[in-house]
Amino acid sequence: MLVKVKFFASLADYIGRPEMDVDVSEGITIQGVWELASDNKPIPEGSLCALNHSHVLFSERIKKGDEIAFFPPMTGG
Amino acid sequence: MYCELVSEPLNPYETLEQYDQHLRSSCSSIGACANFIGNMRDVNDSKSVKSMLLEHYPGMTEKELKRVANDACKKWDLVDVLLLHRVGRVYPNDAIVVIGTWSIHRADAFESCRYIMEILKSDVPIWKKEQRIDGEHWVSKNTKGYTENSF
Repeated sequence: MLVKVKFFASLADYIGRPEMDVDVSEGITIQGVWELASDNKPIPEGSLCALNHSHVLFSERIKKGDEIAFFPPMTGG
Repeated sequence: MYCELVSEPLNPYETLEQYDQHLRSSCSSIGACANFIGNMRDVNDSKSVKSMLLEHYPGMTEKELKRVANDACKKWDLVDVLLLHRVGRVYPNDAIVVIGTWSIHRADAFESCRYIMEILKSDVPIWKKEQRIDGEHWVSKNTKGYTENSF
């Protein structure tokens, strides 16, 4: 199944692109999506993730059509 | 409650005054209003900063701004909340964030205003990229908000 994966700020630079579609197996965790999308690059310390615009843990499982995002700690305000 | 991401320069005092007048035109029980305005500095970590790009996650950033303001409304007895945040390119002295909280008594306005700012910094997906003389650099962490001397 295809899922949309987005990277923001320094993580987009680290991966080399801001987004991609990734073909994954049903029930994969976000950690697993990172490994596929990043070609097994280590996750930079403090990185966060979101599923369909909500903060989640890397252990969260995903389903078809989900949008996953990876980003560094926020620095707004 | 009004929350918005803004891509044009903010005019915080005018916006706060207009919002305040609008609220008071229909409510005379407001006894307190707390405001916070965050501005861009021209120096960070002892390095001169010419401008900053504020990147956000369209869809999630707006949702999180509203969630933070909503959470404040649940925790404190508030009449209203105004929360604006800049995105895009900003320059020294530009307002980045504007917060207004209105309540009947001062404690609710003071404490909720501070809460919104601190939670915004940790939860709302916005990232700063500084433009310095030596190139562009992502800001990796925020300065500490609450300290031992906060209260």
